[in-house]
Amino acid sequence: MKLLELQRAFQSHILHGTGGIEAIVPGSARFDVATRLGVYSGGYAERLIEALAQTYPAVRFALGERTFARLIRTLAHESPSRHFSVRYYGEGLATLIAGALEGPQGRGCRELALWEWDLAAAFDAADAQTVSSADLAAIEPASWPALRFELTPSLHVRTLATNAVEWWKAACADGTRPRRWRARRPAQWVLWRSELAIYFRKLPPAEERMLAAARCGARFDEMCAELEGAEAAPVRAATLLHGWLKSGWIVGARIAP
Amino acid sequence: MSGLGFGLGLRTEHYEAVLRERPRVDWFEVLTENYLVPGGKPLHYLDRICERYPVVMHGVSLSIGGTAPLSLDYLRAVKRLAARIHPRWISDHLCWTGVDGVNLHDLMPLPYTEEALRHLAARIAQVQDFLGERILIENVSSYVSYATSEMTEWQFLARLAETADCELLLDINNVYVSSVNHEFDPRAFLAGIPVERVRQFHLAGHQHYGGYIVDTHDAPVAPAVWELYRAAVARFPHVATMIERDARIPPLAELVAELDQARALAGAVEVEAA
Repeated sequence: MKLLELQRAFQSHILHGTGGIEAIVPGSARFDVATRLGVYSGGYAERLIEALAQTYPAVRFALGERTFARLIRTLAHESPSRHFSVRYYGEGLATLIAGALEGPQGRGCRELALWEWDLAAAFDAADAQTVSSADLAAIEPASWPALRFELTPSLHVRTLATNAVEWWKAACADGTRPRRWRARRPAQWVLWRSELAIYFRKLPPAEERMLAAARCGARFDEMCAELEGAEAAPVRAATLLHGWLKSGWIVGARIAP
Repeated sequence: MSGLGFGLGLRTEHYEAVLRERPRVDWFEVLTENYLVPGGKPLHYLDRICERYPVVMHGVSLSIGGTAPLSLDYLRAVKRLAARIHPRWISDHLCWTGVDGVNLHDLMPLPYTEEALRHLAARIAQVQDFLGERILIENVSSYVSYATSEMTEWQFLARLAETADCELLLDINNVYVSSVNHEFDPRAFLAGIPVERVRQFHLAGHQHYGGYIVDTHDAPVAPAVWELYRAAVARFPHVATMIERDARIPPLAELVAELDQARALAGAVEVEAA
């Protein structure tokens, strides 16, 4: 059996339980062929369950060990990793949950999985030097309308329509389970890393629109246009911008050509 | 020989303790893939630890025995990390990790055939050319062997090191685990490895499951592995030694004490030899 054939047969055995590889694997009375292959096929899913429990501790808390393990086994066999690092495996869990679990728990756990994926992304997102108030103050007032801002790579915005964050907090705290999954009015949450700590908060609607514009590369005057009340908008936008600066969201400001 | 001394595998649980306590560890081995990320806490701590200790990089995803083309994205990321932390050397495993684009995230054993030997030698040469340095290849613990193998694992490793002009990371625990699982003499394994190619040892714990052993890295080094290590130090003197622990990770001081055990044992063997 050529190397490529051997690897395909072995991988297929692990992923799909297909036969073929056992024909060339010698066994012994003490350690038979099925047990030998079982070390690899059993270990495969177990290793991914362990790895994804690091990425999704709150999903595991919410689902319980058994359901979590069952879902990861399904994911491992249906959508095996194609990443060189297991850190980047598991993004498909939210979709899998949506298909596998119905009702409020399904919707809530799906959002919780998306939330934890965002947290993981913020955790090891690229570092960036933040812009200071003094840097912005040095920009000519006449140039402000044409300013575009670059936001920190760790900043993520996620719309949630359940109490997923409540469940996440419970998993991080004393492990007391919330009474139930609840639907919530859809709201946007922003999460980001400053230094080594992760922060998050709910976005008010006006800030949500201004941030969406900034993330799309809008100019400051276009960002102001997202706020209500033409006259007060620049002042309100400057106040919000000040908060973004203090939170370390802004890592670049340049005057649009 | 490296003269790097006695090291530990760097684990996230110990970041703060390493910086605070400055333990008596000569160097750290870092798991390459853990640091192939854009930024944040892993690289923050790695940079600080690299300021204080020599490091080596140890990867699990090179898939040197794989049949798909080597991943240039992966190799570029490894090279970028090496440029950042200046490791004393870079190592990975004698294995394949998947086929047709899949990564099983396991160290899958190879058949020891002439075909595999030619294939691996060519790929190691590619990697060494790309990285601009010789790499170390580690023997893995295995639970299957193949009827198609044409030579022993140690014959394969010895010929690979010569053909590919690479170095070897000899995992003493893996030699022992495989020797039990495949019923060979672990000392014959050591005797078959060319002395001048071995640059690093690994030590680790394992678990017995009746008729076989699994390389679990979740326990102290077993007495039988210490015995084999004694034989290894006698054959390969002054090789850098490190202890791996990946599960049930104890406080740092406990691992440092276990490392002192390795230090003492190696010292005693060297005195006997002198």
